[in-house]
Amino acid sequence: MSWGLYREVKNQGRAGLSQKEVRIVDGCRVKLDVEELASAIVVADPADAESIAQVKKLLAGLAEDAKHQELIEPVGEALQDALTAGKLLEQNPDAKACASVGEAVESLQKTIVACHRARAASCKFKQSQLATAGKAPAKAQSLAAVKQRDADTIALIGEFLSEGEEGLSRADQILMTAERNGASSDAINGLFRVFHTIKGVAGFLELFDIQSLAHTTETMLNCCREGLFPLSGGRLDLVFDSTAVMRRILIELRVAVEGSREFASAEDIASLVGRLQAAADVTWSGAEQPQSAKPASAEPSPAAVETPAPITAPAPAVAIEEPAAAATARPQGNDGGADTKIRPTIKVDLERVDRLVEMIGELVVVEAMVVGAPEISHSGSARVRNCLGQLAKVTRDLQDVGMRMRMLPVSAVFQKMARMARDVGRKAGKQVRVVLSGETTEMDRSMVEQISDPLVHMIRNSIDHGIEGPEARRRAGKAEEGTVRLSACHEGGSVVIEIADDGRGLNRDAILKKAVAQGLIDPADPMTEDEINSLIFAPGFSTAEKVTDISGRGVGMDVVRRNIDAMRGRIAIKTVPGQGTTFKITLPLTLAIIDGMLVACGNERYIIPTLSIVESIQPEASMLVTQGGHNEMLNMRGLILPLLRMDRLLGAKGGIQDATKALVVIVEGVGRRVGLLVDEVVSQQQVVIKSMGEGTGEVKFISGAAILSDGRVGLIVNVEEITSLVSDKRHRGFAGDSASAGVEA
Amino acid sequence: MSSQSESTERTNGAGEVSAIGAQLAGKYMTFKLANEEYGLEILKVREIIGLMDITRVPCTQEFMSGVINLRGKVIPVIDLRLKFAMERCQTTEQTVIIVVQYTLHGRNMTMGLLVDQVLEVLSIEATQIEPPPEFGTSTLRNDFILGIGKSEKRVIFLLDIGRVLNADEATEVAQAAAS
Repeated sequence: MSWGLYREVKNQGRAGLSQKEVRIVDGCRVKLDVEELASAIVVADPADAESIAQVKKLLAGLAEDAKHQELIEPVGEALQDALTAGKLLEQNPDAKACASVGEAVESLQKTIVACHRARAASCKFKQSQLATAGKAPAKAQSLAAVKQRDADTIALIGEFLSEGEEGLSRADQILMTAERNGASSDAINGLFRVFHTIKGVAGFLELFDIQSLAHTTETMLNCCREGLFPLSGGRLDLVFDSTAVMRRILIELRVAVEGSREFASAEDIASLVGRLQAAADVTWSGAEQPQSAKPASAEPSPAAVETPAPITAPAPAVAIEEPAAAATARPQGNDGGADTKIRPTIKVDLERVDRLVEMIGELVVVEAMVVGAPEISHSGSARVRNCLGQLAKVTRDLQDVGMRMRMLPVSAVFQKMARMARDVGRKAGKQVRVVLSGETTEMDRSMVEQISDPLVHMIRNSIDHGIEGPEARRRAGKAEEGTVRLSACHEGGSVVIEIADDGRGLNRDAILKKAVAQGLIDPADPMTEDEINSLIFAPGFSTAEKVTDISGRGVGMDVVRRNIDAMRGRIAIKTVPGQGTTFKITLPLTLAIIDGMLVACGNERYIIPTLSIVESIQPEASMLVTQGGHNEMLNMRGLILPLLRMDRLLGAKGGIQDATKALVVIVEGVGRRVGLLVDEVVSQQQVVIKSMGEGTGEVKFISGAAILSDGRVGLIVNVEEITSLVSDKRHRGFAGDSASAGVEA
Repeated sequence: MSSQSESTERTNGAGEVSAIGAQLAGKYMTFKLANEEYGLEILKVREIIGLMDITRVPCTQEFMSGVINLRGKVIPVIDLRLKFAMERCQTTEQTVIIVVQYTLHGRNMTMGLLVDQVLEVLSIEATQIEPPPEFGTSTLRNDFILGIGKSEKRVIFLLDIGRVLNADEATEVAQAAAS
């Protein structure tokens, strides 16, 4: 694993999982660092200067921590050991020193865990400690109450979690509107309701941490509501922090409940509660809480972005700029009626929906079988024909409805992006405005989840690399505030998502220079604009001079492309120097269905995805060329393509051997074209992709299966795998040469 | 299973129960391959379906007949005769596919077994079960035989379906295909 990728994984993993264990012992910061160090040691390689430097850096950080914190004695001793070992490593970075640091760190970890256990056993939960909060090290004690959870409580917690997450997204949305347009009383009321509901339920569930945080936030908001002071500046930031921290606690709670572990509270609640309490005072100026004092952990973690959205029918999303946004904040509970715009929804177990959709799929197949049965299709009765027509229509409608049930609007993801953009912008010291449009655009549920990751990376990049600092923007004659536009729309049978910034645009020269330096391209190669732009997707490619904690390791865009490829989508870049960059992602509506061409090959039939088909022709004898009597090629308008016989490739029997009587389907995959000889094209149809079933493993040349209209199983050809054959060494004899010849011709 | 069979004492008389017998006693669905009888633990059998069109999957081992559409779900079908290195035979009206479902390494496996004929559901008592015989260094592996059931004069091989085609072999199928 490359170092950059490792960091990426680590960061995400840390945000999601490891944190919950971390803040338990006194000197929890130490534990966090130790964990990171332990992981760094594992991958450290004495020959790799970067990894050693990383270990050194972490050790230095640890030493720093130790100075500032009082550690329990055994932990302090173990830490000293580790530091001593680290000094040796510094003097002589070899494998032996690495190993000794590793050992020391391991024993340090064990000591910390042991201390934690001892402490957890002796501690009792005291709520008062939380209420007074502030500096008291009352961290680990809370929520021992959750320990004994019965099924009912778990169900309640589950409900609380999804409601809470919904509420927090709504709060974020209101906050961002408030930040832009000033907080209306509607906005404050909306926020108040969110926190109030959370507080109520949390209290009931004995989640005192959450309750106390919600309570103090609510108290402060209440003062705003009473007009003691406006909700702006530092106070607004505090509410932002509060939602971020609360979201993280909810995630930790979810993990704890699912793993039926004890839920340990985060230690930074106390200080946040303290700050909120201070802010509830009229005289509070916000000055004592400078920007930099914000806990870094308050950044919304990528994990937070991925929490599954509950499957509900789409509620009308609110454009973020609309001043009326706050008005749509839905009052919790069943008091209803405050907002008529929200359509009633019910929550349904996802499994049931999937099952329903699956059964509809079966119904469609059976319907086709009934209609196609000779006894029925040959029946001359007009009545039967009528009924069959009705049946066909109803099943099609039903299929449509079923498909829609799995569709979700992209709004949830978009809003999370807006929130993230705000935080990233602040961190980078840039003013960024996020404009969302088309959030009601619907996509398959699984894709809404999958698109989140690439969007995170792209927006980070846009803000970190694209948008200039306020100073530079002023000099360029642009508004100080940068804009990132995130939009979605349907275009034909696909969904288009665009991310446009008005930053400096891609630096063509820098990209070329870096690509040559990294050996990605030959400087002599002529390259089109598109080719140059797509270089930024290469793994490990980054033109950033320094790596920040936002971006610059060259991992992000690689992830973007891979995720989008996995969704069978495309990404295009348009950039104008000085004016900005636009990324356009085109995705299929759903992952479950593809357009396919059903081809016959001997007595078998296969499906070729229409997207990969360039054209199909019936070859004439003059077009067929062989080398050595067996390596076949197709000379098509001067373009020489390798010709593969599908029946031989897949071992089918009874295929047409005379190529002039058969059909050549020209397919393209991984940038290569290959002619596939098939008997005939039977039909074009949409098919539902199914997995091949457990126990089949991966099958060469086949990417999946689908049920054909006659109820049989058809196999979907893996075009990428077939076209990559021509670059295989054993095929190089004909394919490699002819492919390059083809390019030249 | 093999460790258990090794530690098992052979039944000496009619009245004695071997440990493996006590463990394996229960209901079995019996079926025929050529003139041999086999038994499948009834709880693992999901259904029996008539022979239907099987779509051959290219580049897989011979015993892998292909895949079928089981009410919208695609499942693989294994020709048990070929799997046991027996002769392939013409399908008859009695040829059926037994759909079995079991969990292997936490994965739910559903697959079809192509067999000559389904016989009956048979209750086999502990006293009627013997551990599988050891063939020593015999060429054929028989670790998928749990035990041998005796009912009247019939001999029924009790199959461990999880081993007939295990996960390794499933991977093997894939690897064989890839080579």
